[in-house]
Amino acid sequence: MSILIKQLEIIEELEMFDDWQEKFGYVIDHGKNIVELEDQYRIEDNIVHGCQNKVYIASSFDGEHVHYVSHSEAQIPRGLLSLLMRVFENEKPEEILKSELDFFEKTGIRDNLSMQRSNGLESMIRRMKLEAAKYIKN
Amino acid sequence: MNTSLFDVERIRKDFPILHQQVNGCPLVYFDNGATSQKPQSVIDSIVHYYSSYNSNIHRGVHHLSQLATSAYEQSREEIRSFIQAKSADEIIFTRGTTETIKLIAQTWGRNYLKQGDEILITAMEHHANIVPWQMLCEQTGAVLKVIPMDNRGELILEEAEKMIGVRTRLLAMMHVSNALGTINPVKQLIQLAQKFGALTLVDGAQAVPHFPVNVQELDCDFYVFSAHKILGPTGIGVLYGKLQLLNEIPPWQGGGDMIRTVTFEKTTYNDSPLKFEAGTPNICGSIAMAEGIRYWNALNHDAVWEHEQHLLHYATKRLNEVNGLKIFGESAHKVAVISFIIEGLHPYDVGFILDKKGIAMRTGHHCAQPIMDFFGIPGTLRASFSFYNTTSEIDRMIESIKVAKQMLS
Repeated sequence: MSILIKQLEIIEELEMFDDWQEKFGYVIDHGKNIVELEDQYRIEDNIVHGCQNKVYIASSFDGEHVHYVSHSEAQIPRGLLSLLMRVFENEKPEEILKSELDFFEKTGIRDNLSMQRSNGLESMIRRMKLEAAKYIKN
Repeated sequence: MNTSLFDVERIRKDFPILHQQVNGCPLVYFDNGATSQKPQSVIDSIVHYYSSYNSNIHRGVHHLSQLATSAYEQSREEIRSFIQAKSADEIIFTRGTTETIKLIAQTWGRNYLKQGDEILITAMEHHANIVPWQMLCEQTGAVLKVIPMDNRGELILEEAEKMIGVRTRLLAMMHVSNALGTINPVKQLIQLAQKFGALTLVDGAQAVPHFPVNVQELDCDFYVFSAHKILGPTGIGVLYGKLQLLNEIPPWQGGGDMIRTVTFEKTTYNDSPLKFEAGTPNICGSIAMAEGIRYWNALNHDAVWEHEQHLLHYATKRLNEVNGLKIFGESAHKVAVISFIIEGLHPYDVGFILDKKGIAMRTGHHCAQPIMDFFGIPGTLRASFSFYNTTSEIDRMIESIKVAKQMLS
């Protein structure tokens, strides 16, 4: 499934919610899908700077697709991470790099974030794309 | 509480910012420890200054300059009276508490400290009263020592007694903890330091918004605070210092009113306070700060204290009803500040949901990371109250915490 289709799926799922409380309930629940990050990944190099709480992102490559692991101490960023992972997981690095994410805007999630949190979200997206860039030859 | 002495609803009318909706809910402002809101009279004083007599001070002979100079110096007198200093020459306008501590470190400290001298601070200091001394120690070879605190968030005085000695040159401590609310026994500690001839600096940023301070009674050498925490604007603060000391220590920045004469061969400096006010000062800020102090002076301080303590006790009781909630800072002597965490929930998540409910509270380490390390937590949520807050606002906070718990569990 392409990044675009996965975004449309999330937009559709969030359409059934009317207010911020329900939408963020969905985001928080989504965060529960993230598997506990193993200790070997909890290293300085994997920390995403620019987030208010501690966030880790790491990746691996199977020769064709990128796979991510991540962790956040707080639940709302964990939910945002989980949505990002759903969109980027098992995609080709080239596709991740050229993708344009707009589902946070279209679902109204972005409007509900403070400027600091919004910057934190940008840092996560940038980090995931940088991870993908590592696997592109030349 | 004697409500006849303190009509909070009438007082709230003086603060226009409080009457607004945030995220569709009436604003509850519980971040007074970060900065207080401003009464209309302070806002008006800024508009009036810029629309009626804005001018540079001290050197103009023209009418506007004289008006501005007079208002600026009257503000200094207002501040003198506010903290009961002996002379207005002991009041120096600065940019705020952080800059003021740095001023003392870089003038007195750089010139009078030597290797092996000791500076004593406390375990609950704000970074502003840690970092300048660490930098000074690196520059001079002096040693920084820290008076410990206990689990209730109170300083351990027996330890302080052991630590203060002949090598102690300065005891720098906060009057009130911004993160825990503890009111420190500064008078007692000052007397202890004086036995060994050490100087004393008190960071009063979190004290002056809550109770009257008398620097002569405390007998500290320096007392520092910021205007914006006590009804005034940002970017202006105060250094109080004993006059003899201020005249002895060298100036910090050069230029403007701090000079007496300048030739290419030699410059001579003015006396305090002008010696420390280089360049064009924050004239409007000082005038608006004094206006905030006038507002504060017109309040009944006993009634303010009683009202704030009522808020503290009511909020403590209501918060303790929440399952899994733990309060940090349980001193019997506290201003109306409550730091807490809720078991299993990250303060940032709770803070986010409270904000969505229109409640402004601080989350994080409150610029006091060593305190968080002491308790082994990443940060807290902090409700810091002012005299314009109400118990019904506390009820709103509790309801919103319950919503946060439900969403995050």
